[in-house]
Amino acid sequence: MSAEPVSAAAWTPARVGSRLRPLLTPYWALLLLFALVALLAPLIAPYDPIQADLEAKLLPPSSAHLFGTDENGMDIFSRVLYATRTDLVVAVLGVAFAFVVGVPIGAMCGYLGGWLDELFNRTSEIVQSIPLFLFALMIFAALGNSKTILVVVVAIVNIPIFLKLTRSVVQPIKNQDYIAAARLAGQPTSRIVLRHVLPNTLGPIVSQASISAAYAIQITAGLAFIGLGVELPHPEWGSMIQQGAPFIMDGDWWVSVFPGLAVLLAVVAFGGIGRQIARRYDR
Amino acid sequence: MSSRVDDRPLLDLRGVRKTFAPRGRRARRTASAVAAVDGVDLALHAGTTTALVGESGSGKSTLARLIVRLHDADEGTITFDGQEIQALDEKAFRPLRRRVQMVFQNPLTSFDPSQTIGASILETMRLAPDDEPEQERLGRLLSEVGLSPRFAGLRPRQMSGGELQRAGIARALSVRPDLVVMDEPTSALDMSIQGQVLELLADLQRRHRLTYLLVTHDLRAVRMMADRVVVMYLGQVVEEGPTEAVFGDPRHPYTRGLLYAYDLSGRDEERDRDVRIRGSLRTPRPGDVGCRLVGRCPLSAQRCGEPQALAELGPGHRARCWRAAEGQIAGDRQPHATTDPTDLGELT
Amino acid sequence: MSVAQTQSRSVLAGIADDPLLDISGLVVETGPQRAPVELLRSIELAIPRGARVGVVGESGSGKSMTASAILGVLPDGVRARSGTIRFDGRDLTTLPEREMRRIRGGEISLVSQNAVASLNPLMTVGAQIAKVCREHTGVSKQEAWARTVELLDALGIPEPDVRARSYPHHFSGGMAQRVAIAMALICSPQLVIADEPTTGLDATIQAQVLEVIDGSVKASGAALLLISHDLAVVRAMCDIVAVVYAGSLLEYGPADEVLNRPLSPYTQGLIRCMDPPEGEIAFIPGRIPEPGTLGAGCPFAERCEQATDACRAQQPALRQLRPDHWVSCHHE
Repeated sequence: MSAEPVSAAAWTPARVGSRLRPLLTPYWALLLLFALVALLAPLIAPYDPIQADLEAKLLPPSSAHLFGTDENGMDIFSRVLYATRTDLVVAVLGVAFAFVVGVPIGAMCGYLGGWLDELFNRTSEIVQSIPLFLFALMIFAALGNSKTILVVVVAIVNIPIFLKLTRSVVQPIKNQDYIAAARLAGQPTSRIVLRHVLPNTLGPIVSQASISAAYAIQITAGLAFIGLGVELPHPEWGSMIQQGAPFIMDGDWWVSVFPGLAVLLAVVAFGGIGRQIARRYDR
Repeated sequence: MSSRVDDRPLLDLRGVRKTFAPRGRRARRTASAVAAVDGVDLALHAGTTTALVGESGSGKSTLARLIVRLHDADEGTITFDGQEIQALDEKAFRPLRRRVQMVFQNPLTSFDPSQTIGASILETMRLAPDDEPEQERLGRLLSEVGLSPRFAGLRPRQMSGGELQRAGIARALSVRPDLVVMDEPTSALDMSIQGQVLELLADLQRRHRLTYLLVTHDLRAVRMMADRVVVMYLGQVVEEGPTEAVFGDPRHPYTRGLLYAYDLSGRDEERDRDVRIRGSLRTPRPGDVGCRLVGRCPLSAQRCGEPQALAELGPGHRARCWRAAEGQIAGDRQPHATTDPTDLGELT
Repeated sequence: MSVAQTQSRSVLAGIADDPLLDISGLVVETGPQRAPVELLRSIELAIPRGARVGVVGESGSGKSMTASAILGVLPDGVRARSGTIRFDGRDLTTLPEREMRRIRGGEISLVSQNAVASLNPLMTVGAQIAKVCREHTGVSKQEAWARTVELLDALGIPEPDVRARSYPHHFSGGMAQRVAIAMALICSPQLVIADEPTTGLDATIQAQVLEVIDGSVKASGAALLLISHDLAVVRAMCDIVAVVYAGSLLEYGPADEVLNRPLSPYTQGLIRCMDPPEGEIAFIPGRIPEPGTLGAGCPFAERCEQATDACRAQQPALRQLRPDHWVSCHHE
């Protein structure tokens, strides 16, 4: 007399639907929009973003210039669109790099403990105790000011975050019975971590990745504001905000506000996705 | 005592010790180290079921994990089928893994939630490959524990506790082990289901001539399944023997107190004064000598502060208490309490 | 909670004159309105004043949900669709939250499993208990503290005035349960609900805690509703036993009757599991049904040896087959 499973089919239409429905939230739509803009900027932008036109300095938003122009006569709308490429790429690459380095190390630290754990813990603490901008300044001073170094800075700043997070979600799992069962099946540690530990901990980690991306955009914008990372006249939201700051007092608000809105929306999108994923895994 | 090979126990533990010290501290003798298993001897013979009984802190779960080499013992020898295994590294031990397997307490966490049951069972099964095609072998294993082969494609969350526990048994048996260690196999299951799993285990034992080590606090299960009982308290064996002897004629005050505590309806003032275990547990430290039950035992005396040895009381029946050794506690004979029942002993 | 009234008093209420609590026709469901899943299908219960009633059931039986319903603390998304819960003359299902707050802790209190987890880790235990006392009785701080220490002493906590200044995590399992019991008794409630109060505790500690509950509840004159999956605990502690399965009440009556002369095949099965005959491994075949998968018939039908088509077709009504001994079963 064999028992039959009560719930049989895995992929019913309802199930597939329930997996896709979360993707329809505004956050994902926003992210999709940004991705498309980044991709298609050359096709959408009406003007060359670094084409100066001194005749058209500081023009307010109009049908010719949707977001107005800056003090060099460059079209802000086109610059905001092109800047999406820069900011998004730096954020995504930086976080990806941090993820690829931080997560496996964090997993090993969490699972094995011991001196490895101590070593990386201390190192992370040292890195995290340095104020962000000071740290960035040090790196830029040492390695030069460029977009690549910016990605490196973003990555290094985020590695301890992923390392500690992964470590903290791995630690409660390592004592679970199914890990013991894997050990009893003679599985080597590396396989256990890869096959059993990581798949069950990815939820909070992926959620953190989104939030880190949002943070990365802020870092990029902030560093550009003080002249680090992306060089003029390359369009980048942070540097655009900085450029436009002196003109606000004169009433020419559009130079800073539009790139500012872009930053805001990007941060909201990434952050929102991160929180959404976190909620799913809390249940 | 015959020294024929047949009499040799399948598993023989001598003087096994395991201490847990807080991470990073070298000293095993510091105040905060815990002597989870403190000098345990244990012998399991092939084809038998031995129950390891005790409350929390007794060390029974730690001992079980030492036997399957999830932890390494600090001292002592563990001999499996004539071979000493406690010093083997993981690589050397791996070929033996298929001979000793474990069934876990909580069915809900004993399977990887991100994998199907079939994948999990296969992972263990591959320790002992044979000619039979994997899928067929998997199906046969599931049927043997009373599950349809279709369960192989399910995730743990799609199954009930009882079904998962059966799957856990299938996994352990997939490699045709000699010894199966079971850590509270039915505690997480409903009352009406527990017997199903126990019946299955008994049936499989008969069919495959398995040896069981049943770690449990459920005395009913012990009565139903075990040939021998080993009672542990704070890392030590305090009484052991054939089930009928230990349950029918318990000699150690702790065993008596435990049986009394389980028998919720059998209260009377006299037994309450003389048999009941008072107070609560304290943490076992590595430097402890003497009986660990002092302060909780109604028969505590000066002599209890000395190291107590396991004394032979009958065929295979031993207890670690000088009063038992002197025959003061046997059958209906029970000394009167030496301490006040309201003395609650040390509180943690 | 406004709820449609089906009957006003439970049929079981006949067990005593003016029972303290009686539950009649309670149906609790969850899920979307169009396709609700029933967690409690038909619960009846009666608790005479000062009596000790045990509700025994396995997972999914609805025993804890019943306690939540009485206290008005059903989880989000779970609602009582119909039925009445009469307590001391009032229908709890219709009372506003303000009134329920007064009743909780004051007239009906709860001791739950692993109570340490339900205590505030940032307050000393004495402060917490005294706070409950003050809020419900309005006495002064000093008086509340004095009562707290006195009660802790009565419950067997040594040096109560010192221990009262300790934090919950300083207490071991058994001691923590005593603290929880103190919190439940400080306002001299009329009914104490104990939901698996000793589950998870070691056997030797369990015996102690049950004794403490026994003694202190008896001394206070309160009625006790003890919820447990362990028939042995219920047998040791209760005068009246109710057996629930998959959201329905299957048997109810004096403990001696239900445990020695059980009428429901389910109760008979459970008793056999608790005390198996020599050499036998006892169990009930089959699995416990998931909520929402039950048909119209008796919930136990698919596991019952004596099940007939009538059993599968229609849920049997509660019948009083012996004096004060009720059962929901088509057979005699």
